[in-house]
Amino acid sequence: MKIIADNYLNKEKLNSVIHFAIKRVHGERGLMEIDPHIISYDTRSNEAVIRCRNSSVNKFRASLTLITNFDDHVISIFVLKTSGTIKSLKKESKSQ
Amino acid sequence: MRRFTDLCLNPPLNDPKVIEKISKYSKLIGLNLVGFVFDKKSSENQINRIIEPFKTLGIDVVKRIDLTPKSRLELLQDLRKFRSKYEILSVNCLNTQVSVVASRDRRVDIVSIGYRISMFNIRKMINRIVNKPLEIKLSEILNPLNPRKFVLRRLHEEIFTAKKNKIPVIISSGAKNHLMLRSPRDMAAVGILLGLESDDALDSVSKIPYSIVERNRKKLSSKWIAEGVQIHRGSNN
Repeated sequence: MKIIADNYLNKEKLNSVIHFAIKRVHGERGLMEIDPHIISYDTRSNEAVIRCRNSSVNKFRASLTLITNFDDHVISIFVLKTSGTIKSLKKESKSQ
Repeated sequence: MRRFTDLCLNPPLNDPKVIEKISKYSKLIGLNLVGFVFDKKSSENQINRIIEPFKTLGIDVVKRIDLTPKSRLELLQDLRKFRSKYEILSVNCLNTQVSVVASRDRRVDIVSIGYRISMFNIRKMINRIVNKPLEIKLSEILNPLNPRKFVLRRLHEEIFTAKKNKIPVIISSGAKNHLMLRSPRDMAAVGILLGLESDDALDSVSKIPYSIVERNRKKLSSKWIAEGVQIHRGSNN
């Protein structure tokens, strides 16, 4: 996942952003279903690896797509790749 | 493997920095083809200058124009004027009169519904569309002119009626800058949220727009005579 947010995010804030995005579109129940966890977040490249339930990938994508700002900061999130295993995602991000 | 497209990028045409950023992010999110909205006054030089950064990154660019006619006559005049210049011609319907003509005219490629149309008229307008893809722009949700819940409700209604009438749906970003760009699978996910089936949602950012572009490029080529008639010359001629 690539995040554009004018150097404002850290791991905790990213977590809040993700929770806010999901709650706004799918509510508390959606948050429970998607169950997102930040595996890693590189503040230099603004790239994060996030785990979610396999059955709720599209719900998660839709909520991230619809976020445009948080705390008066402009935010844009692109999902660059999804995979069934974290290992392959990490390999991918290292190769880039 | 699917080739993905975003048929509507709408940045300010005289800002090369924004266009360069859009081209960079288009490559990053895996777009193979983008549709660039030009205005009625765009010159050939300006178009070539805008297309250049995309071409260097290996992204195919389609020239597109969005028409918002107020009457049937205005639409017909615009179609006559711009059909041969642009590869994609989209009509934003503001009333039922325009939507009926736009849906029947073969020169129109894509139809979209104006944001001020009431729910009842949306149903009425989409019911009259025959075989023309209906376009949903993500920018309507990201930068809503009405409260967001009304926008989502309207788009849901558009997709529901389109599905009922078996009208293909195209999802595009309508991005004015790189922050409004979204990856094609993300746009498809929003399509699923609004009521599309998952296969249809993926087709709406890949197969359907690609088929329109391919068909129109064929029509605009010098070999094209009419539907089913083309010039084929051997190497000796």
